[in-house]
Amino acid sequence: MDAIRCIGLKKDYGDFSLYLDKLVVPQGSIVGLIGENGAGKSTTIRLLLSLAIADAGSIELFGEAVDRLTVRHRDVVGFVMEDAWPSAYLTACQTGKVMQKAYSKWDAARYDDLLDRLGIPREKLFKDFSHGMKMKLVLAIALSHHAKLLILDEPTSSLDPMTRDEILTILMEFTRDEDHTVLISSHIISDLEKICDYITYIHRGRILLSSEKDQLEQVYVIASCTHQQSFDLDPSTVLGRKDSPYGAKVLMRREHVPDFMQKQLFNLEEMMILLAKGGNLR
Amino acid sequence: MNALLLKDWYVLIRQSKLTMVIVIVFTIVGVASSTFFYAAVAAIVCVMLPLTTMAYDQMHHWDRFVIGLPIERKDVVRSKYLLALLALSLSVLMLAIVGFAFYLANDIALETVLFMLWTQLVAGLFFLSVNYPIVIKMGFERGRIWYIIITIPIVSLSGVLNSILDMESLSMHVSIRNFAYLIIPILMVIGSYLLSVRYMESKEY
Repeated sequence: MDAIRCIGLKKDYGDFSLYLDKLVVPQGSIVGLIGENGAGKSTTIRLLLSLAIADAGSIELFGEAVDRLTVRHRDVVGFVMEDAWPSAYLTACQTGKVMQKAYSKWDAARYDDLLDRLGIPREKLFKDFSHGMKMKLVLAIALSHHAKLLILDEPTSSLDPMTRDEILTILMEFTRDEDHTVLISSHIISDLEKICDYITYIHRGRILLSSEKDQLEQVYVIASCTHQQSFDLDPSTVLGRKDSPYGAKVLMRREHVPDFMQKQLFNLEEMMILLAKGGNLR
Repeated sequence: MNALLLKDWYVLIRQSKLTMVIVIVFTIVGVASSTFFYAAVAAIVCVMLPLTTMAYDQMHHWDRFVIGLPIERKDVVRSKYLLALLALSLSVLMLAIVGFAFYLANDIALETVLFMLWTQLVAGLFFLSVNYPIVIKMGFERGRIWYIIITIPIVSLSGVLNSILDMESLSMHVSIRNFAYLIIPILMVIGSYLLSVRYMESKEY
């Protein structure tokens, strides 16, 4: 079963429109949503959490069609959203007491454990937290009510490498239970490379690529050659390219790479850049 | 909804101690000087308390966070109205206690106390029913312009009336029957609540 299945999801803001022909998040997996700033990652997450309402399309959550998330759905969905924070004038302890009244399966012991593990001060006001500390507290909340699905928008942004690693470890622990699913957006692609089973790349409001992460490396190759050699390539085989003073880097399917090109170590971030610079997988 | 009330309680005890002192001072001064203007201001200040929490919610993005929690949107509105009515009830109770204490000490007529209570209830309910939907629809930043446009004339008018009317003779016409007229602001509050729920249900973040 899929934890999330969106078909033909559309949202038009006038100066920006999002259209997701098909977004699938299989249950038990970690799906990474990548894309440049303003590509539509946060809009996608707002639609999934019903903070915004789609103009068209359908959303299914665990096989159930939902127009808007109900209290029952929200009880099993943990979230991190851009500019959505617990009350600024509460301490972590007070926030825990409030959440206990909001979630039916609030696990105070788990929350307490996460406060310790993430080094979150208990009696300091939330407004006095650093951005990283705020993010950690929101994650602790998301992980303390026995959620089946986590929807996380840029949870590791502006965190130091040690904390990012700690959070990624916690997310991997979360998905040890095969019923647990994570949809995570980030522009720190190295984070997603570490933990994701699937990658969905959104570019200018459209899904450009959606695939198992391991399959990407088997199917696509980043290869380099001289400018002259790159011009001799069959344009239909070039999925993305980037020119530099020293030559050209080209994204191609593995079977289309000519012998004269030098294959490079696969790198998701570079693939994203090549696709963004005029590439098209369709 | 208990989660929301608890959260607002934590915020208010931390942020609104001074406001509570103002309410107590205005109530005592109002009764001591038989001035219904102070009673009206005390009620408005009380009803402003949840409005203040709304401002904090929006300023620090709790208003977006709460939408992700397993809480109905209408409960978000309901909790603010409930909190406002609780605050207004407290202010009325306080005025009643102080008023009757002065009445027992023969410093004030019973009719004056009743008139002040009536004024306080009407002012509080009117302020609540007009301002809450505006702030919920437009947000505190944009809504506060309307909030000022609406509040300042009411407070000014009550101040002017207070200075030109003969309180003693006016109070004599007031009896328990006049409280029947409260049905109008009560209906306004119900209408205002339904409108606020509608705004909240259609709000996008």
